[in-house]
Amino acid sequence: MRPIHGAALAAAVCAALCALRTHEVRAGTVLRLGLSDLAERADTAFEGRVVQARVLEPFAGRIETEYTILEQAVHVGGACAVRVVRFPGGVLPDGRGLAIAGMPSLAPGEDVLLFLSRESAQGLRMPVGLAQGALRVLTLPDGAKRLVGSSAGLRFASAAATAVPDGPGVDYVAGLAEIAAGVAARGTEARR
Amino acid sequence: MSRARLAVALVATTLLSAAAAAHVRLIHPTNGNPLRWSAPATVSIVVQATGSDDLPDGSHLPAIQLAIRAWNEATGTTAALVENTSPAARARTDWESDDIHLVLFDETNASGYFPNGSGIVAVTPVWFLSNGVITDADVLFNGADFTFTASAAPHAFDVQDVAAHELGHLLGLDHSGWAGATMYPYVDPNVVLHRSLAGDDERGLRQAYPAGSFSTITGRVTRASDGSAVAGANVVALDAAGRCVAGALSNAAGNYALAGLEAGAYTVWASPLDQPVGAANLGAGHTVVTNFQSTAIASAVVDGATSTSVGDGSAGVAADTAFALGRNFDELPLRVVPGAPSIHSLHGSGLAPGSALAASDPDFAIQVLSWNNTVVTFQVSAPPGEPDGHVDLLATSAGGDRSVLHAAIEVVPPEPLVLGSSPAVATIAGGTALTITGAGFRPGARVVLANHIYADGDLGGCTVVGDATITLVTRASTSGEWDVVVQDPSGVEGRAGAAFTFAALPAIDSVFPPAGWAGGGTRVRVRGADFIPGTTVRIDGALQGGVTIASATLLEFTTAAALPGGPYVLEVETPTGGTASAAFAFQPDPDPLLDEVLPASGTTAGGDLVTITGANFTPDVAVVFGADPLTGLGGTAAVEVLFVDSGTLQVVTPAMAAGARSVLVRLALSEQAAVEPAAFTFKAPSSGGGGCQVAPAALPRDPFDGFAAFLPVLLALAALAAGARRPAPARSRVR
Repeated sequence: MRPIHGAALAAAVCAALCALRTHEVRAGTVLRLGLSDLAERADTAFEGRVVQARVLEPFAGRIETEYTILEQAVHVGGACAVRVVRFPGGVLPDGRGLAIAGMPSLAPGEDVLLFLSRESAQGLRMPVGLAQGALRVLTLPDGAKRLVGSSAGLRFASAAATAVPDGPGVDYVAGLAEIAAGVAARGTEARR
Repeated sequence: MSRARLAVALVATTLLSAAAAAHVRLIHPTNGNPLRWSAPATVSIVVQATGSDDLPDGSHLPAIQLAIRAWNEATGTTAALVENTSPAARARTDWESDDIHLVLFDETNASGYFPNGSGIVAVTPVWFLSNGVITDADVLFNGADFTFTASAAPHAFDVQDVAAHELGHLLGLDHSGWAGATMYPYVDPNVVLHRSLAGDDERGLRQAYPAGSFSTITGRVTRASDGSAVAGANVVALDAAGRCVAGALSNAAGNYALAGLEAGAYTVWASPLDQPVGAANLGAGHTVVTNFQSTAIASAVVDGATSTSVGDGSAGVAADTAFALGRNFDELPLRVVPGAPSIHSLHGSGLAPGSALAASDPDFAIQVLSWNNTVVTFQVSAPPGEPDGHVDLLATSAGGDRSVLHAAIEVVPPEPLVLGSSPAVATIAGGTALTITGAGFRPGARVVLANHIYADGDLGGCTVVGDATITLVTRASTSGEWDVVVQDPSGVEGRAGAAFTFAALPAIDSVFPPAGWAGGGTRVRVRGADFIPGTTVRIDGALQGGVTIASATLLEFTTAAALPGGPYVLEVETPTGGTASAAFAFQPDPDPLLDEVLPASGTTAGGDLVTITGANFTPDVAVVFGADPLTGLGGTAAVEVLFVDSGTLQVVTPAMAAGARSVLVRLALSEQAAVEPAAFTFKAPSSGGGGCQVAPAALPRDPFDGFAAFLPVLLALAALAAGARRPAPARSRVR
């Protein structure tokens, strides 16, 4: 069992999770990825605030959720003031839905750090490692930030790696250092 | 449990307060309705034909079929995955269509779900309605980024293991808190223990799609301290032997229902769902509180048909503790083979010297080798003969705190040993009786051979004769070298690599005609087996032309010119080197030819006069009605044959059943022959009820012309009538 954390942190986590109300449904089998892994694999990684989420059915058999995000910082890839990304899955107003195993769901108003793949031919950008690639950026009452991961609905395919923990998450600054390491590794790979 | 986790739990409680009944089900993200199939007995599933480019031998197919089989073998449920094996369905890739539920390998990210580096191994998209009815679900493997295996290749994911898990989601199940369950949310490459269902998986199906009568233990998880309800407790029923039987998640009010129980005595435990499986491993909407410690809360004896309430049980759960056994990075479940002690390590917290470790099944001996606060290393010994199943590990601290890791131990047999089969080579046509030898074969075993599954007890399956012997009769199979795989019902398997060969082993049953003109051009039909494209024919070493493989059992060719004589060796050879031989002779005279049969019909009573025109007839000619056009065999000889000249025969038809029949002309001495399928039709006589019987058009209208033309035949018939039972030589005389 994990060590006890401060009540403020607990409250912040509580508040963040209250906002999530995830629609994800279970069980994509994924690799367990740490922050550096995520940065190394992502086509783009950025922080931002979710300002809108809407569920679409572009055609039969596809239900997608489109998020509009005001970008605040970029870690991988080029900058863009307003990001519009679409994830598969979601629940339409009439109750019909598509559950994609472990797909994260973002709520308007929350700050997120997303690690996204290259856009597919279908216009989708998958979060790297599904829910692992969508972290919440929590700001605690003392101003400190934390990155909170999610493993909701995931089946992890490797017991060896270390993922960003759920719940209390990791310190934001330390997390950025891990991301930077991942970005550096990308450069190394590219030079090879 | 930490306060942070308590907070998480409280939040989760606010998300949904609907009851979480027995087992963990997938639920509608917004209204909590359990996701389910409306016609669970016929959930169609299609294994896409292309499969994985890692498995060009098509071995994904039996692997996925075995995963399907695992779910279909669950008892007490109406749910069944019905495989649609039609080639048309298997050719489809439109997994998004509602009318097909595909299991496919996406090798090019055509789905858009597997961009490079996504880290996603497989997903199961599930479409549903507001009421929770599933309208479509498919299993997609990320073939673009990951390597899959059906033969324990290193660093590759086991297709059957991954498929079994994803199919559980397809059926509407969420993750399980049991380390040994198929729905356990962690897997490593090469893990195969999730291939077979655990009790929790099976009870999940029973709860979702019940069939038959079982008992249910209902009760409530409360705290010993104040009697308050505990939501989201991982409630597990152990049978009298200490084996894990059923699981449930208590609802927001602490109520649980352990359904699908057979008659027997059970002990009910409640444990926090925190490590290695936690609330985060479940989908949204489940209420999970974890600030308590594992406690045996009740016991009950049930009759297997009715429900039993244990209320709040004999004990409430004890207060939370930092003492914990098991982490999500432990490789679980721990495989234990009866009679073979094994050493394992588990992580946790507070695992200090002075603690104790025990298995829920008292037959198991646990010897701790070291306590290291965060790691405990121990040896597990199970006596030979212990049945398969799952066993809890119970750790107790020096201070008396408890932590139970449910279904941490999976009892499985050793891998079957496959030595080989006899024979080791068989025809691709199937029908060969095989005996597979080895050790460790148990009832219920499945043999996988050339992508066919032969399951013990199935019609057309295999028979486990004993621990060392399995027998089966092969099905038609693809040629090549194949592993002989024996998979135990537990999912462990033994394999003899490339130990069996299916080959085209041609055989010749008949050659028709058995002789032809030395000038060539005789169309010859060879009946037999294992004729495959590319098969060649030689006569006396000379390659023959016009070879047509009509089927695996029929080959035709046209003779090349040769010197008269014989019989020569006719040899059929497949591209893989299989040969078969028969005899063929070349004759100096041309083959008989059949041009016309007039009239083309007669009565079933026989006795009709028929004129056969053609060429190259000889006095020793024989005429047969109804012979097999492919072999020349069978049929009924004409009652009488009159050789008029080399181009004309006049015959008297035999009695035959109604229908169109072949006419065969065979030269008795040379064995040359000609046959015309459906050249003569035998008709039943008119009933006389006013119908009109039309005279055959070929018959002469002038009776005198007819008399002249058929005078020789009439004379012959008169002679026949005069001498009943006339011996055969008389017939020769007529000719």
